[in-house]
Amino acid sequence: MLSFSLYVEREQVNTVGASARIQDLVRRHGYLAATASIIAATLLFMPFRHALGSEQWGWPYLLVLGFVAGTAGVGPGILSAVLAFFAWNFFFIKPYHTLFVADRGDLVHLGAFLFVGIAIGLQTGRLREREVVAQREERHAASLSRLSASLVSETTAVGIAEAARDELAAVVRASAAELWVPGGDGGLIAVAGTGARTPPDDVAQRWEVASRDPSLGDELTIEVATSATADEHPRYRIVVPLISVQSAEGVLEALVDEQPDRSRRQFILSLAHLLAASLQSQRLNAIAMHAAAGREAERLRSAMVSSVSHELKTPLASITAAVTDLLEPDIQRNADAVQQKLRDVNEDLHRLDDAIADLLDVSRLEAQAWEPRPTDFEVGELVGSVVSRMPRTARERIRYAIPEDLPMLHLDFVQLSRALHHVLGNALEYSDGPVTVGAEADGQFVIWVGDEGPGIPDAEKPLVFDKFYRGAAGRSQRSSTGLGLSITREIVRANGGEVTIRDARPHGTKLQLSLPLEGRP
Amino acid sequence: MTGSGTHAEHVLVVDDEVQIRRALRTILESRGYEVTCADSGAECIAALTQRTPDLIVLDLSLPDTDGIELCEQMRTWLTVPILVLSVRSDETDKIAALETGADDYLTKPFSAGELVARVRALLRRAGGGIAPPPVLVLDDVTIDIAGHRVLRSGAEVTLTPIEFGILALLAQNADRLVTWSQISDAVWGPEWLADVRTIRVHVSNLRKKIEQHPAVPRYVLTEPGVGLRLATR
Repeated sequence: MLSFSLYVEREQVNTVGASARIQDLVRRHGYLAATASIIAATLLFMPFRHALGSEQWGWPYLLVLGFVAGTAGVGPGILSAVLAFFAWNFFFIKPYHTLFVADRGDLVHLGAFLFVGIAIGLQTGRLREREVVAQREERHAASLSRLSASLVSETTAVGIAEAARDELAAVVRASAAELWVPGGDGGLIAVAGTGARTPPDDVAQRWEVASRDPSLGDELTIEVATSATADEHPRYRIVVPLISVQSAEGVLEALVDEQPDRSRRQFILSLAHLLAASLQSQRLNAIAMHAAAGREAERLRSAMVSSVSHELKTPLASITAAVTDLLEPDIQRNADAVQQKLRDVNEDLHRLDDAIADLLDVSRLEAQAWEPRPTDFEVGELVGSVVSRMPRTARERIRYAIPEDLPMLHLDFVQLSRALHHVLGNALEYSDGPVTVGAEADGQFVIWVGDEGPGIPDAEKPLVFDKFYRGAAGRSQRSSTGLGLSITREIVRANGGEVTIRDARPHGTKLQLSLPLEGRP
Repeated sequence: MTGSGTHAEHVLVVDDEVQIRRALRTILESRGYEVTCADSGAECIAALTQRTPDLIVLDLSLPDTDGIELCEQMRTWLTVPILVLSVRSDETDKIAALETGADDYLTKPFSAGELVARVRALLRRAGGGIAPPPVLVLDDVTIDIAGHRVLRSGAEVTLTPIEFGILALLAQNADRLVTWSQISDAVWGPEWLADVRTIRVHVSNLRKKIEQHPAVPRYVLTEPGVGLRLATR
């Protein structure tokens, strides 16, 4: 069982929220900040008490309270208006250091100041609060859009979980987040990682309810306060079932430092919806891919059956016909005719043997029951062994471009001779002129076979290695299992190499087997 | 046909497939050999207690015994050559059989010509009385073992003693598989174990001197993982 805790490092929270924390401090301690601002302003103004008329000191105080309301909101704004009212009265309106007002005109000024100050505090503070809300909504929207962008490129549940964790950490400062998804046995498993963690009871319970009745949706969200020790600041665990289009896809569990307000709660729910949609599309994709793989396997099986029955039955039929004909007692034949018939039978037998060898190779390679057994050999020995088994007419068309001072190879001789047999056989078959076998060593060992045939169109090049694929020319011509180049590629790969097709000049095809050159001690 | 003079050489064929036994009997008897067949390991042992053949043709997959074990077992008291038959997917079995005492192998399906060439090569080597041909003529190469000379297109080729030793050994066993350890024993002596890579260096030089395309040898062929064979056909 997979299990993983996506616990966010403490440091990460700090760096992510450094500026947010300062704002938070001001917001949390707004009343203190308001008081401090008015005291500081008063101390600053005192030396200049006589520079302005007593009725004029209201203006600088208005500036200060505007600032407080603009940063700390409505409450601190009103508090600073009231404090400024008293400070002005006490320190700047004669007689000083009493709240008694001697001049009736000053009384009007003070009354007007209190009224205007409270109005400014209210208005500016409200603006500030709306701005804060707007900024936060913007952050949430940006986070969700970032998440949806990364979910598009994530193909694994682990990737999805990590993207969600990052956003939860950045936006709601979640210190931990886990994504629980249904495992093979129907139980929940934590995405990615190690250890066999079982989901907490409430997670399992929510999952059970959500899978039974997905229409309950967001109602199933749980929010509980937890704290490890009694004097620790409580943290909140949020458990959200991930539900998308009437199907439960998993459960999101997050740990946050403070109880989420309406807007954060909304953000977490939106994120959960996004995760649910992404998990669902991933699940449906997997189902679709599985179905496609099944269809492909089915196609190969039926191609295999048709190729096998054709390639085995055709020579068998012609051998049967020839031999039963020879067995007919009533017909007189001369020795030449009998010889010719037997030669035809022999040719069919070779074809049968080739087809059986191909099928044997394919099944051994598919079952991974054909491990390479490397031995030392020279490329010429390989070429010689393959060429010596070809019919004389074919041998006469082969040219060699193999230098003498090539290093020795350390690979599976038998496998590579099968591979080269197919490549050489193909070149001889799909062209009429000479076929050249060459080799070179430059970083890696390359064995190539070039023909002067019509070449392979670019569009067909990637297809020729597919099982049962035959070029346009081959389809009309002949008789082979269509497995040769597929076998070749499997063998070469098993030996740590790669097969590539190039165009030969001025026309024709050059097939290259690039093989590893072993640096032996 | 057998060249053995007074009596026909006796071949024991051990194979569980009746078609193969029948085919081998027809091919070998038509060339003058006397053939006894056995269809299992037990029957093979029984036949051997009756009479010792001159050659055993042994299929590696038998119903009652592991062919390799049978081969090993027979080697403890028999010196007659053993030709092993295997199918293509049995490369590892084939090598194991050669290591435990078989003298050569043939992969099914094989032609009558191949079979007869192997049988002849093995019997020629085993029949102590029959001297190997003193001069072996390939297409354009003449190997005169007794005269210690090699000609290529009429001109004498200079070989080092080791190269000549290897070539002479191969010529004496023409068409027969010669394993790396047999080469080491014959050329370097039984107390000295020559490294396969060392032998290969000499073989590579030998090919440069006698092959038309040294890079694509035609006479001195490598049997992967096993040894060398001088091809005369």
